[in-house]
Order: sequence, then structure tokens, then C-alpha cells
Amino acid sequence: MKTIEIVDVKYAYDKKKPVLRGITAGMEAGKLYAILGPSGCGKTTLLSLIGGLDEPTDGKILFGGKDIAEMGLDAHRKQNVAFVFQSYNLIDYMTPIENVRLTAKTDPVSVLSQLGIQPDEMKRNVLWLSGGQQQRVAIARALASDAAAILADEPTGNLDEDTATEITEILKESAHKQNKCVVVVTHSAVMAQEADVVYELKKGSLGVVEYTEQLKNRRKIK
Amino acid sequence: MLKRAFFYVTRKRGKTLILFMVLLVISTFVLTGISVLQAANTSALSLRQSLGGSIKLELDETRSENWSYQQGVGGASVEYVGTPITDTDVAKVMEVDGITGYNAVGDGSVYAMDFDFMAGFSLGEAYTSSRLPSTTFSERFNYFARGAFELVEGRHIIAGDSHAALISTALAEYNNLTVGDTLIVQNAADYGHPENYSPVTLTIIGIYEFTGEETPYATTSVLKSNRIVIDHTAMKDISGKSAIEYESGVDFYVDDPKDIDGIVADIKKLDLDWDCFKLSIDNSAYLAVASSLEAMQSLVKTLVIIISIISTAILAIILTMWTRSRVHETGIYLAIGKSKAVILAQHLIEVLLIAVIAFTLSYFTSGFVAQGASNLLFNQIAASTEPVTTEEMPDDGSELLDITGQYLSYDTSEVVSAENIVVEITSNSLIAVYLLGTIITILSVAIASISTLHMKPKEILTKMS
Repeated sequence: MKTIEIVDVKYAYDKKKPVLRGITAGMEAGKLYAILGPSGCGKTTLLSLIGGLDEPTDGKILFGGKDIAEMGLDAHRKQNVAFVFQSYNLIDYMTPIENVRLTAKTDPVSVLSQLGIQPDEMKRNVLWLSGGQQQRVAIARALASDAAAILADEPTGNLDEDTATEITEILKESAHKQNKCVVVVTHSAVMAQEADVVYELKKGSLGVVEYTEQLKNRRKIK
Repeated sequence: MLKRAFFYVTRKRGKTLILFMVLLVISTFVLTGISVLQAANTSALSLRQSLGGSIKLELDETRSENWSYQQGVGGASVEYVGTPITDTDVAKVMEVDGITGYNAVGDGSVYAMDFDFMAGFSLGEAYTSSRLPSTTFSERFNYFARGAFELVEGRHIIAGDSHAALISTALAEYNNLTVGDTLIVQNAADYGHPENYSPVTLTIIGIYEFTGEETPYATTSVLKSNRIVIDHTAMKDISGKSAIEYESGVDFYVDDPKDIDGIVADIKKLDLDWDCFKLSIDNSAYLAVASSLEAMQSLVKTLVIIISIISTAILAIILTMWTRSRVHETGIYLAIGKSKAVILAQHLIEVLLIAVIAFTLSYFTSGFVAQGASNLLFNQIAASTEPVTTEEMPDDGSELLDITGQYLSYDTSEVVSAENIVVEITSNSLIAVYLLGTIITILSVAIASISTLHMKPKEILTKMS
């Protein structure tokens, strides 16, 4: 069974200018999915619909075979999905441990340790950490939640190349070793070339990109 | 949720301090207002109860059919032939709710048989008699109630006393009399023929001091120091009547003069001879001092309401700014599945955590400012309030002969002043602040959160980015 099923989803801020024109796709556990596309094409909107942050104008999204609208979007966000954002989005008056504990079903310390956060860093205010460390904490929060799907919006957008590679690797491992369904909206070629499936969103339609090998030669997809 | 709220409050210290100061100022104002209002209410109530008010049941002298005119040798005599006020009528009125007591004042004139009245002004042969009042409860007698007489020894006359007398210190010294001694008096109504009446022996049960000054040229009969206050049984014997008839009327006292009109209406429903009786109200003492207090009560009540509304508005504005600065955080919580209700509750708990400390501290800050605020308010109001005349003096000179004391003015200078209103911060006031403060806080947080929590999570996250 597909973890996420997108069934003929349409979305429009303005009826005359639809952003998504009937998208259908399926995403499985244990795979890293990358969604590419030009700025403003609706990638983040699609991710928001999958994550239950917004509702489609038409169509439906199934999670584990159940319609998330019927399930309740609050419950869907709490139980099924975990977000990782470009700007980390950590609670700025808490430590890494406290941030992870917000969603944790498992021990926050071990998850943070696995992601390379040192014990003394775990007890500092998150704002005292570097960007890369903050993103690791954000990913730790997603992993500790035990959600079946991790939805990441430009998770390496604010990071230097080396750190971006490390974060990409962590997300890839989350999919392959922890059997998560990881969906990443990205402009990063590095991220795209590590993905198991690459979608491209263009003019409101989603298509699978077959030429993954070619992507390896591109630094960035515009 | 509680832990998150605690983290926010303890780690965002700058914001916490600002909110704490705002809440402390607001709660201090509200607590001060409530305390001053309570003090004004308490003062007004105790003032009303201490000054009281009275309703007089008296003979209706305006009805000519109640009077008999007879022309005799040496002049006309006038006699009341209507229904007299008796103890039966008094008992009926005493059944009315709100009436706490009564006093009747009788009037007579006696010769001193085994002692001497102090001699007053006389152009010729001095009168040797003096008028004397009889009372049911001498403590309620106007001269005592209004402070002209002060009991310095013994006790007051009460209902049931028989042949009891109160005399002045001056008369006691003049005749070397003390409590327990007796006096013999004889009715002087039938001037020149006292033998028509039997001498009556009175026992001195108390001695009073006359605190005023005697009227210039006061005759023996008019001198206040010659007043012998007696009970009605003694007066009945002195006048030679078989039953006590309250010719000067009966004063009924009410607990709270504010209710006096309602009580009058209830008395008028009683089965009394309203063709012969009438009622009059005396709450002049209360009116004389109440206007400032009532104005203060009204002003403070308005102030508390205005402070509460302004506080809610200020708090809502501050919290709205605060909530807007937390859109980012709200978006994160929504993204990790926290419901809007949980987020709102967290914001509320944060403010309440700070508020509880501010409200508690306001107990002390209000203690510093409440009395000063009360004095300032009362003095300003008192200065702008028209003084009320306490008593309209008769222009026919009858006050010189009045033995009921009803024309005596109330000395209200010591009764109510700003210093007399003692403002205390009570636990009840503090509880009121907790309740009112919590309502203001909930309203403010709700108003502040409307704009953010009305948005869809994606809109919030869009604002974030």
C-alpha cells in the first residue's frame, strides 16, 4: 500500500489561475522523493496539502489508504507527518532536547546523538547553534515523532554545501534505514540526484523525471 | 503545555517583565478602585446606621375636626378630641420590617418640691417651675442623640422604667444630688393650683452633662440644665392621666435611612386612624453627610468600570503585538500537530502565570496608594458638593421652648471626613481582582489571538516565510 496517495488534486488561490491542475501520484515508505520545479510553481503548496496544512480545492489525499480530510488535518499532522523547513523552525526559547521532546515518541537524546548533536549542545538554547546544527535538531524532531512521512521544504536551502550533503544523507538514511516516506521539495541537484524518485512540477502538473543521471551533472535546477 | 508556558515566561524575560509591569499597574488600579469603593460603601452603611433616620407618627394638627374650641372665663381653651396615639398603635408600627426601635416624647411642667431649679432670667417674680420631657428610651431622645446631652453617670431610661429621672450635672451640683437619690415634683400645668395634683417621687438613675450653651435670657423653665428627663409612667402620674397618650408623637427608628420611603409606605398600610395621625420623615442627619459619600461611590464605581475597560483594551493591544510576534512559533506548533485550542491555552496560561504574581503583589502596592487615592477623591468631591442644611430652624422662636430637641442641629463635622474612610485591602477585594483580572486576561488573550488563530496553518506558515 502506498503511504501517500494524491488523487486528482487541484488547488487554486484564484479560480482563473489554478496552481495545481489535477495531480495524481503515490509515495511509498522507504523511499526518498524529490519534487523539483521552478519557483512559484506550487511545490510548497503541494507539500502543504500532503501535510494537512491546507485543503485541496478539489481531489483528495489519502494517507495509509484513509482520506486525511476525514481523519482531521490536526490529527494527520500530529500522527502521520513531520515537517522539516528551510528556516529550521525551531522553538527559539527551548533547547534542542525540549524541541525534540515536543513530538518525541522516543528518547530525544539518542536521536540527537545519532544526528551528531553533542551533549553540551543539547542543553543550549537552539539559537546558539549553527544553521547546520539547527537543521539537524529539526530533523531529529521529525524523526523522533515516529511519523511515517517526513515532508521537507528546501531543507538544505540555507546551508553550505558540505552541511547540505550531510543533511541529504540523513534524510536518505531516514527513508532507507528507518523506512520513512521522505518527500523533499528542493532546488538542490545534490538532493535530487540522491532521491529514489524525482518529480517535476510544471504548469500545475506533476511528472516523473526519468533522467536522473543527467541531474548529476547539473549543480542546480532552475 | 504548562511546561511550555513556563519555559516561555521564564526565558523571554524582557517580555515577561513588560507584561508583569502592565498587569501590576492594572491590578493595582483595579484593586485600589474596588477597595475604595468597598470602604465608601462600608462608611456609607455604617454612617446610615449610626445616624439612622426616623419616622414620626404624630397627631394631624391641621384637621380642625380633631380639635374642640371652648370659650370660657379668661379666654378660649383648645382641646384635642381626636384619637390619641397609644401603645397599641406603637405595637402595630413596631411590626413593620426595617424598624429597629421607637421613642416617644411627652411634655409636662413641674414644680420642684424638695429641691430647687436653677433660677433663670426674670423681670419680675421668677417662675419656679420647669418643663420636663418624658421618653421611652432616653438614649434616642434628640438631646442625647444629637450630642447636646451626654450621660456621664448612671444609665439611660428604657421602656419599662418607672419613676426614673435623669438630671444635669449642674442641677445635681446645685442640689448636692447623686445617682440613687430621689426628687419630689408636682404638676405645674394648672398654674397656681398645684394642690390639684399629687406630688410624685422620682429616682435619679443617671446624670448628664449639657455640652451646649444656655440661651441668653433663658427663664427657669427654658434652661436646659433644669431638664429632668423622666419615663412615661412618671409623666402619667404627674399629669394625673390613666393611660399614656403620646401627644408629641412617637419617633420610629429605621436601620437604614435609605429604605425610609419604603417603610413609610408599609406603615401607611397599617390599620391606624389616618384621619387623626400623620407621618413625617427625618433623615436630615444622613442627608447632611451622605451626599459626598454617595458621589464618591458613584465616581469610584464608574472609575472601576472605566479602568477595567481600558485595561482590557491596553492588555489586548499589548498581547496582540505579542501574539503577532509569535506567528512563527504558532506556525511551528500547528505544523507539529498542536491544535489551535492548545496554542491558545498555552498563551493564556503564560499570561495567567505572570498575572497571578502581579495580582498578588498588587495587594501590597495598593496598600500604599489606596488610602491616598481615597482621601484625594473624597476631598475633591466634598469640595465640589453643595452642603446640605441639617435643620431648618423655626422662625417663631419655638426652638427656645422646644423640649423635644428636634431643632438641634447635627454636628456632622466629625462624622465624615476623608480620614474617617479607612481603606483596607481585604481578601475579598483581592479575590475580586483575581476574578476580574482573570476575565480581563481571558478576554484580552482571546481578542489578541483572533487574527492569528483565524488563519489556516498554511497562511501562518506563509507569513513565517
